[in-house]
Amino acid sequence: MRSASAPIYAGDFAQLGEMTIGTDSAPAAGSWWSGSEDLHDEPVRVIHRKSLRGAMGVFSHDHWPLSFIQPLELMQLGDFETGTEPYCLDAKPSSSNGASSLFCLAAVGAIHALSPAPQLNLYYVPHAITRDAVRTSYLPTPRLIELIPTDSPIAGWQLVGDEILDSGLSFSVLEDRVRELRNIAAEEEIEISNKSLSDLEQLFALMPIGIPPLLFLLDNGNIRVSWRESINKHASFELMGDGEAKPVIFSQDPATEIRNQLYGAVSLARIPKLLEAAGLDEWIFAA
Amino acid sequence: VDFCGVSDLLPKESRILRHVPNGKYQDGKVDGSVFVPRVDGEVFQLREKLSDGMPETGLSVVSIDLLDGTDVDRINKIRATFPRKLKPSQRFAELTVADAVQLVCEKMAHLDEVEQLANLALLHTPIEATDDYPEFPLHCDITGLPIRTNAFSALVGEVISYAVTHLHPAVAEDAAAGP
Repeated sequence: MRSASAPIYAGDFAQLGEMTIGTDSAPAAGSWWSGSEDLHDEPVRVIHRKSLRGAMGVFSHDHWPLSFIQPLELMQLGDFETGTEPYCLDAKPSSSNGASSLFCLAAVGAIHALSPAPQLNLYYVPHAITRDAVRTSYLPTPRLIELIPTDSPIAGWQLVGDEILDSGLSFSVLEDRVRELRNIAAEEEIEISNKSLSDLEQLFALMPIGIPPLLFLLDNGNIRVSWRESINKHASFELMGDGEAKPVIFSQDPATEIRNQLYGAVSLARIPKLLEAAGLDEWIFAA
Repeated sequence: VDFCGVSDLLPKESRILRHVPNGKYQDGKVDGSVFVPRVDGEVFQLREKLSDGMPETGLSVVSIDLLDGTDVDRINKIRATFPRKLKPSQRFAELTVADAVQLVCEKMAHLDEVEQLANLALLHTPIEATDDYPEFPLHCDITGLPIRTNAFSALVGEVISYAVTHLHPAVAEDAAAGP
C-alpha cells in the first residue's frame, strides 16, 4: 500500500478486491492507493448519472487497471455532496473478472478522496485547478463511505433515496461514424486528433446523452460534436483535445421567446450545466 | 429589409455553392466550419487552392447565377469545370446570400460583434486555366467574414449553415456510378 503522499493518479486497484469497504471498515487515509504511476494516459470512461441532488459519476474501463487522473473532471460535474451521504452503487460485476464492483469502489474513493476544500467551489473555477494542484492540495483523504453489498438486488446506479436513473447512450453508437471520419481523415491527409476523440468519449461519460450527435471532422483534425434541430435549437462543440471545447449554442425559451446564443470556450465538465442553462438538456439528455 | 448593418456590398439575391468536404456533413446537415475561411499562418494544416497554390483568404464559393440554363445544367457545368478533383462523397451546399444574411441578422443583430460583418463582399474572382483544369469563371470570394482564429467565426459559420437549401453531390450520381 502507498502512503497518502503518493501521486494520486496511481490506479492499480487490484488489491481492492481483497478489501472490505463499509461503514465499519473504511480504509485509513491513503491506504488504498497503490500501483503504477504512469497510467494517466489510459482512456477512462466516466459514467455520469444525473441525480436529484447533483451529479454522480464513476469510472469504468474496458480493462485493468483504472487510471485515477480523472477525478478532477468528475468533481466538476456539479454540486454532488461530498459528505457522508450514503451512495448506493451497483456493485454487481458486469464482467467475468469482477471489475465493475471495483469500479464502484474506485469512484467513491475518487470522489471522497478528492473532495474540495469547503471554501472552494470547483464547479465555478475549473480552469484554475490543475492536476498538479490536486496532487498538492487535495491529497487523498478517503472519508467514511457506505456501499450496498455486492449482492444488492438494486440494478443500475442510484443515489439512495432518489429515483433510479436511466442511462444515456453508449459511446459505441458513434463507432461507425468515428471509423468513417478516420477514413476521411486519411483520405484528406488530415491528422485526426485522437485527443479530440478522447474528449468526445469523455463527453459521453459526463452526461447522459439521449440523442446521437452529428460528428464533423475539422481542418485542424479536431472533432465537432453537434446537435442540430433548428436555428433556435442547436448545440455544437469543437473538442479541442485538452479538456476544453468551443461551443456554439442557440436556444429559445418557449415562454419568454428570449433567444440565447453562446460561443467561446468552456471546459468539458461544464458542458452539461451549459446545456441545462440553455434549456437544451431535456432535448439532448436521456429521459 | 433591415440587414442589421451587414454590408450593402453583398449582392443578397445571389445564389452560391460552397464545396463541402465529406467530413463536414452528415445526414444532410452541414457543419458551420464550411463557412469559415481558412487563413494563412494558422497552426493547423493549410490546404491550398489547387488552382494557384495560394491559401484561402476569403470564402471560396461558386456563383450559380453567372450561368444560364436549368439548375441541373448549371450544376453539371460547375461539376465539369470545378478546379479541383471532386469525389462522389463530397457535396456542394447551395444557399442564397439573402437567406444567410437574414439569419445572421435574426440571430446576431443585438450583438456588438455583428459590426464585424459590415464589410462583407462577394467578389467575382475567376480562376484562370491551368495544366490540370480549365478556366473557372464562376469563382467568387466572400470577403469580410471572420476567420477561424476569431472565436466569433464559429457562431457565424453555424448560423450560415442553416441557410443551406440543398446539398448537391459533387459528382453527378450517374457519373459516380460509372458505366
